[in-house]
Amino acid sequence: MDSGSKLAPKAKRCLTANFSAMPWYLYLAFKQLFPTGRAASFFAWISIIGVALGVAILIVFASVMNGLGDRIRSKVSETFGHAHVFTGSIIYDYEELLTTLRGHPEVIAATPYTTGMLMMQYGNRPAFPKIMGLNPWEENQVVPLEDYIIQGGLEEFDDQRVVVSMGVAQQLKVSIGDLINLYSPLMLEQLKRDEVPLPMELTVCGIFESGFNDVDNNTIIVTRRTMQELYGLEDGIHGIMLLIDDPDNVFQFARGLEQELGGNFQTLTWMEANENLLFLLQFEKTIMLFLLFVILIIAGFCISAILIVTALQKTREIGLLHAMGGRTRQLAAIFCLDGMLVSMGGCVVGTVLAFALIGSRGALIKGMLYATGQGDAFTEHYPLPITDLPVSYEAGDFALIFLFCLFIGGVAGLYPAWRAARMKPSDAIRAE
Amino acid sequence: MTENNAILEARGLSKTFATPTKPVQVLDEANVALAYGESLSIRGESGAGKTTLLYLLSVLENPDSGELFWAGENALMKPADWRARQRATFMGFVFQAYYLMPELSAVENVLLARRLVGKVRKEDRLRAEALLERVGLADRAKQIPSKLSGGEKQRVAVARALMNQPPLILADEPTGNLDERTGEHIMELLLTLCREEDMSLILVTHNPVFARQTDRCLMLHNGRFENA
Repeated sequence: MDSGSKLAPKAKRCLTANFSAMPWYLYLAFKQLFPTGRAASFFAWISIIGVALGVAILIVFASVMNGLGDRIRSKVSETFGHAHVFTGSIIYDYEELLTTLRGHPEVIAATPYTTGMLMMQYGNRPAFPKIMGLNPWEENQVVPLEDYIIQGGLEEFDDQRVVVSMGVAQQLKVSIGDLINLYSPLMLEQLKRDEVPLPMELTVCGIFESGFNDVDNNTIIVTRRTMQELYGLEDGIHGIMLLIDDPDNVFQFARGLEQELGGNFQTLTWMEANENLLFLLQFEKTIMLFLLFVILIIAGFCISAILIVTALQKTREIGLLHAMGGRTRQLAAIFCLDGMLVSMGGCVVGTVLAFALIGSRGALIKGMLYATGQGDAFTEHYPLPITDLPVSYEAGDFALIFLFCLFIGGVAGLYPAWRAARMKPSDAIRAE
Repeated sequence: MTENNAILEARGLSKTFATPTKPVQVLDEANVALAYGESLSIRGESGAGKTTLLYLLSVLENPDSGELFWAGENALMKPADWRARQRATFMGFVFQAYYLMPELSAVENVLLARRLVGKVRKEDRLRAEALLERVGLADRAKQIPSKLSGGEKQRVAVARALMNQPPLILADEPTGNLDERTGEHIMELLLTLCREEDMSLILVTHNPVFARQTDRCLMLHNGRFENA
């Protein structure tokens, strides 16, 4: 005998044993859904499919929102670093600070940076991008700039060259090798002194795209020395970007580092710096989930309606169960349990369906775009391959969906349960 | 407490139903007592209150007045949970319309009586199968009620009533939906099994032939008993 055929009688015995130990009202609730001689009742099929669709949609939505959120968060932390150390003014003689930070047990990388706003001009087209001064050839880089380059490269990046984001390049219509002019706020000081400021002329050597719109729309990167010259910083910097080994505990790290460094040093985490964006991401997911939960509530109404009809159809059986010794609360429990069993079935089927949908999301999106004729627009605005729609599973989402589903199932059974419970046994038995 | 030899005793049971036109008194100070192992038939015209009496005796319906004793215990003074427990173990019902659970097989319907008392053990399964064999349905044990004939359904219902070996069986027109020949078989089966298992029986019936087969027969007329 193979192992499969050995297991079959054992499984049957287990099932029988479980039925034997089951309270009779749970047994009848189960049998009402899965009667002897049939896979499932019509009521069970319809209700389970209804709940499963709701659960599947919720899981798919939550997972895709998590995936997109995680990708955005990862891009934000990638382009910002996990934390910035700064004083609010220019930091001179930062070498000692940099050595301290690089020697910190929790710090993986530390990069000095300078940042600001300026005016940029190409031909007669102006722009006002955010500018960062970084030396990407140095070790210990926080921002993986090289990975973001989509045109040109960093091989020739020096004090006479600039790397622009995709958004800036499109806005000014610049390409690799073009000369651009930069006007810094320092030039206003020169104007006040009746001096004639001359713009700094730099050559575009690279165009980058990080995947984070805030950075990609309006950022240019020059060397730290160029930035120091533009802003008159001498050898000063604005701060130091940090990567740490435990980003989940960045708040504790930041507060601890502030105490360790003392003085005027402040630490800003990527979450604090992008608080609004992160709040909006979470808020959007919460609101959409809340709206989608309505689907489960509708499924609950369907379950309730079907259970009410079932309770009416089973009036005489309810009377019989009274006569056989069933108590009122046990009879009521049959219908509540029916609702919960349907919900549990719906959760299981819905989860399988959700994983199937998520697994074939590439094909589904392609089909949907083909059907709606929006393929080109999608490709233009969505920077990643269609099959690369990110998903991420969170146990909390699953727990919330399952618990809500069970709750709805139980509540759906309450009214039919109440009807069954208030039936007078003698009237129930006499019912036509 | 009542006399020790009465498994069931009702004293002065009265019941009046409100109707849109006027109140209808179905039972008027009815007295009935049943000894252990005794069989009693109750006859009467349609609407005489026979079924109501059965429901009052099992407290599926509450009487307006009177006293009711189950094996000497005043059933009307006990909590509803106690009565429910007693209905599961102390009495078995056989109804005219069988009332089998449509989603359960014949043997599962018989075992349902045991489930209401507690965990189903292996010996309970054996007893259910033996009862079905005794009523001639050994080969139909796994059939669902919709696949059974009326006579077969009633035989399953009889087996179910006997499952917990209750000392008292209440049968309400058990042959009412059956043809004469099948009805005779069912009655014979019910009476024989009750005797074999030493159970008391209250049989509500129209049929004088069946009524004569019990130890005692009462006529219900105008809410009161008359000896038949």
